[in-house]
Amino acid sequence: MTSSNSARITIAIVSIMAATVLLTAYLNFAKFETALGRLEQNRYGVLFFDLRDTIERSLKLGASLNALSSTQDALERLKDLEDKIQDITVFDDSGVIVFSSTLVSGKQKVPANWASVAKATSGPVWYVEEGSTVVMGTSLKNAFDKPVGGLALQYSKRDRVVAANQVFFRLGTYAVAITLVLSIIASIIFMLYLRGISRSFTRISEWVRPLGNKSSPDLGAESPTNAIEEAVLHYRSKTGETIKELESNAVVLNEMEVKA
Amino acid sequence: MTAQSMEMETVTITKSDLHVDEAMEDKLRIFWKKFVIRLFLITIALTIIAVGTVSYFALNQFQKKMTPEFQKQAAVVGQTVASQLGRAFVAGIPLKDFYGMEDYLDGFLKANPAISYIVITDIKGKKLFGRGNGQATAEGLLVPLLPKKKAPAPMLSNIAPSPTEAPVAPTTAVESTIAVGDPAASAQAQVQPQVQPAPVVQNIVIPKPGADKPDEITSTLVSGFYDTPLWLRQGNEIVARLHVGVDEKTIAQQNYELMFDVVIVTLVALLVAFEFILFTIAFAIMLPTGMMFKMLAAGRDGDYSWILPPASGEFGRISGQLNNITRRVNQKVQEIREDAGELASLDIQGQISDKLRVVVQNAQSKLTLIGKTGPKQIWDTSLIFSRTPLFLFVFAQEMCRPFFPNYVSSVFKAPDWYPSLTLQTAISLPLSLAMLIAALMTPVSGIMSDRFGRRMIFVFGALISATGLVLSGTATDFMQLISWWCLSAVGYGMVFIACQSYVLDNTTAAGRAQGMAIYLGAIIAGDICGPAIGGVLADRIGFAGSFYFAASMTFAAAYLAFRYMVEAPAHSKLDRKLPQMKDFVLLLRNRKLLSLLMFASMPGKILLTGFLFYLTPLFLASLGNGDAIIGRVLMCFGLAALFVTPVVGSMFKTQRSSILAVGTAVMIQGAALLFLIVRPDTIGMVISITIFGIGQAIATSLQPGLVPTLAPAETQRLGNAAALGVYRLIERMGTVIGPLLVALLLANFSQVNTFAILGAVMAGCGAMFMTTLAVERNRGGGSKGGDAVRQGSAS
Repeated sequence: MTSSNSARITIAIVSIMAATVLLTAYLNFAKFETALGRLEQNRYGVLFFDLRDTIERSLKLGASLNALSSTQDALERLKDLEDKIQDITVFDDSGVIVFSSTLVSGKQKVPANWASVAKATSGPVWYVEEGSTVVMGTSLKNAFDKPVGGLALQYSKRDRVVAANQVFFRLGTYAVAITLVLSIIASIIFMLYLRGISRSFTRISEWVRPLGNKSSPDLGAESPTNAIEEAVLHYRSKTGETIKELESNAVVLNEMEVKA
Repeated sequence: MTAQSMEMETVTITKSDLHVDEAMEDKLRIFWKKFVIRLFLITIALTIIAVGTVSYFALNQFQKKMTPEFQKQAAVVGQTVASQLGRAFVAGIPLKDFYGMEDYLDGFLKANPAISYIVITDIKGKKLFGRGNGQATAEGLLVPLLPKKKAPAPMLSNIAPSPTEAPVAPTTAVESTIAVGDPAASAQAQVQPQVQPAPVVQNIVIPKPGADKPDEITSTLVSGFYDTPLWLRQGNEIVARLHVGVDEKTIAQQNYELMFDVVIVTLVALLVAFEFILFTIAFAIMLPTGMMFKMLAAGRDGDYSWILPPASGEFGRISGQLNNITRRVNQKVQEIREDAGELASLDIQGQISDKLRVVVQNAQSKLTLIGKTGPKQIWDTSLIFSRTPLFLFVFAQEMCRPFFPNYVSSVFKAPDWYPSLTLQTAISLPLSLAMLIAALMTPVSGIMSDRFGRRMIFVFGALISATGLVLSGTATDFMQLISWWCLSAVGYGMVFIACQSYVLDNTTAAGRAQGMAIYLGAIIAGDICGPAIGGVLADRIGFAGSFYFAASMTFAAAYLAFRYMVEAPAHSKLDRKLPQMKDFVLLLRNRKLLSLLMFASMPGKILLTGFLFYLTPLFLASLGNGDAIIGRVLMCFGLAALFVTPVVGSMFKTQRSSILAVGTAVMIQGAALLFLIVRPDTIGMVISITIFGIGQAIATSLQPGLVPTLAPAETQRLGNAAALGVYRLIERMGTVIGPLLVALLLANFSQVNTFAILGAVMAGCGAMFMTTLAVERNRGGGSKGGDAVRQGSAS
């Protein structure tokens, strides 16, 4: 195994190790981002469910969604509480916005994809991500447990993205640094480890080369340092004898030819 | 004679072809094995250190970022409570007259498990209301913390964060002791709260520019709780203070969970690295040296009829030199023959004929030379070359496991021709159909692989499967999804049988168990890594993207198989035939085997697909878990198998012990499901799946070995391979039934009750299995107990 073989093996193994380190960093980051997103959802969920419960309490008293005049005030107060909240919307079952913390004018409808996501989600809460905005939604039910509309809270995930990016950058830096250090250390260790066997292969090459040459093999006395060398020397000795015997047979034939 | 002129014949060289020096061979093998194992251990050790370091840094970073998130939640909870109270204040109700406050606070604590306590005090620090654990901590902070300056502008008209300039306790030696949890000091702090400020160990202000926003609220770590205080105001008057506490242990718990995830991620990464390092070492070192050693052994034996295939680097140089030697010896003998021929024609008087004969005989008798068809090329392979493609293939298939039920839900709409089709049944249908197709493909693929070769069937199967996965990702309705998923299953069946046959081709009877262990190892590793990575991917790139990724990995598996899964020039044919009805009848008439199938093998497969593949993702999703967590929980099954499978074979060697082990394993699987009645949550599921994995690993390792011992006459009549083929086909019907049966149960029972029913039936099956075999044994039917179970028959 000369330097080319050693280098090739070293590069292959070190590449796998480096990829493993980077994969670990990425998977860990993915886990962190998910956990962070979950915590953020929980935080907004506290406000969101409190508001939903308040509205549903009124609905269960028999009031219609349009008649809940205090809702507008509640939405605005909640939005003021947390500046990452971009909008809170109450909409009826046809998707028309009834109340909104941003005071939209006219009969606007919520985006169509909200309804399709809500339909596809088996749980009570659905989520839609639109750019840097996360929409958390649920249906509003009346006293007969019939959906009469929905509630959606839109919040910015910018802070989470910034926090995640910071971790990504820092973790990425660590991972790259560790990969570099690992590559250097591993390369040195592998080169040192493979050096012995490399030398053996160089010696083996030197030993067997004369057997293949046209000239008569000149087999010196060698002492093996390991089992591979021992096996090769055994082969060389047997093959050398064979070749010599063949050479001597050829000489005999030549002599006969001259005689003839 | 040159290399070009040699018309090569490629023949497998085995030990039996050579009269090798066994002692020399052993020495060489031991030396080389030690060398490779050391190299492998160095590589794994370095990888573990590097991956561990990255994971440690990651965990550190996460913990730093997570703690403030909990405090933010405490602040939000506090503000929500305060907001509700504010409405009562507006109505003019005095705080002390609030009715049902405890119930109201209980509701909040229940909805927010991360919050430990909520306490409301008057401005003198006297507790008015409080619920939850650790209220004493808040009372410890009930010092007269009236604002020194004008209170900040109220939030929601009547709430304000407690001013950060509020007195902060000096850090004394006593307080430091309290901080680390000295109970005596803690008690002292609790009896003196009114006169001395509570120990403040750490103040965390969640930074955010701007005024009057919750982010400015200060959290203080006191005696193991992060306390977040807010002022409550009625009009302009401060009337009370609200404390929201988060137990430090809750955050630590979250961090432990995070650490657990990090450990799992590390394990997955290491398994992936292990597979590829194994492949690299096998390809770059073991294969060329193995062939070289064979060539040397042949030469030592006087056999110069072989040549080595071209290689690169030093291996290539030595190969070239050894090939030159072979050519030289052959050339020399050829020259001698030609010279002898010429001389013979000149030997008119017959004077030298005898001498010639001796010379030519000398040259030829001791040597094996290149024949008329040319030199034979030494050929070798490693089972690793089928293991790595199989690992990639299983990895890709298992990636879809955690999110598949959710994906079906997302595209499901009852077809017009079957409007009453429920979602539960719809989810079970593709799983069952895929299992049926994979099972039916097994005998067909076996025959095909005999005809077209293992590699071709692997590659073809993987390409079919990849196509199925790509199309599954593009499916827009349920029928499309079911069709494409089944197409993928066609490839699945082909690949598995191709790999199994490849192992059989390349192992002797003695090494077959080890060969099968290599094959099973790839499946287990894929089972572990696939769900874990698939869940993360689905969370990040969505269902379709994950399908495409899985397809690309399947393509990679096909490429690796095509490039490296080299077959013996004339691969063996296993004399396979499609099973006949009479074969089924013959086997099923054996009551012992019937008992094995009905009470152990099939129920095990029913639970494998019904419980693990179908119900588990659904149940975990219903608990609010994302695909990533579902993947990690599913991974526990593979992990259990990874540790249990290797030791099972050596633990139960007799028929009797195997029967007892299988029966117990079946009951263990039942118990795993019954456990979910006690703990129907995510942690319960982790425990349940791990126990289930242990039971499955024990049962599936031992069951095939029982077939020839429970039905010796039938096995002898059909042949070992055919009997096992029929047994496996019947067993696999369990995988088909599983999802459908569970869907049926779900239509009538809750998920937890379904666990209970399945668990109870399974445990009953285990008992029935042991009872029926004991009865049969007493009747004296079948083979005598105590005979060794033929583990090799597992193949």
